[in-house]
Amino acid sequence: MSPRAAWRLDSLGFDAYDYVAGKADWLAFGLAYEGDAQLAGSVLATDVPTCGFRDQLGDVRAVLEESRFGQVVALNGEGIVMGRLTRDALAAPKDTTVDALMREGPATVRPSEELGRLLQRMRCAGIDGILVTRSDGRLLGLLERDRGERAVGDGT
Amino acid sequence: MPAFIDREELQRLVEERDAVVAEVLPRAEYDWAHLPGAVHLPLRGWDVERVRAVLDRDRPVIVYCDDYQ
Repeated sequence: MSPRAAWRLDSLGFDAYDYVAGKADWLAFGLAYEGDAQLAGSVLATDVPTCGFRDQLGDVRAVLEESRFGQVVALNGEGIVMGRLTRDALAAPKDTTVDALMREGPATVRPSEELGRLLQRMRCAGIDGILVTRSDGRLLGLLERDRGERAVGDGT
Repeated sequence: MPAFIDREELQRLVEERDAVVAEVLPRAEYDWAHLPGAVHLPLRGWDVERVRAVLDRDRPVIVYCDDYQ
């Protein structure tokens, strides 16, 4: 649709451009938007603790023990989610790398997911929280189901 | 001819050349969510007079829809 509009504008003498990946790309990257939509990216907890996936357990033990989310998200140097470390890893020797202990390939969703539908899927699957990443895999935060349900209830 | 651009180029054009961003989807989809500051210029019912009234010929215009449609 937008290529046709761009060509029409061009024919009217405007300096026309077409953002071909469109709104889906914009929202999946977690960028700001205006409108009525309630999307996953709007109710994130952005204080979910993180660590490097090559860190050693001893470096992140205290953070993991204190995490109110019960986990620490393991990232690479680019901020890409590699896995998540949960408290069952605490029994390992302190020089064990996060890489060896983390749960790989955690489920993630895009910030552009409609909140109501996502929460329904989480309820059905019995999931209390899910990681939200941009379309390039970078961590944005964690969506907590109870917080999301409050937001939907409030209409915020 | 129009240029076909990505997200980074859109952001650059808005920041450096004060480009206008326009969504060409129907009203309901625009109301649901649109890029910050985007104007609504639906392709269905394309109105040349409205286009000329809304847009400034001296500024670049970036149109978009949902995705590769």
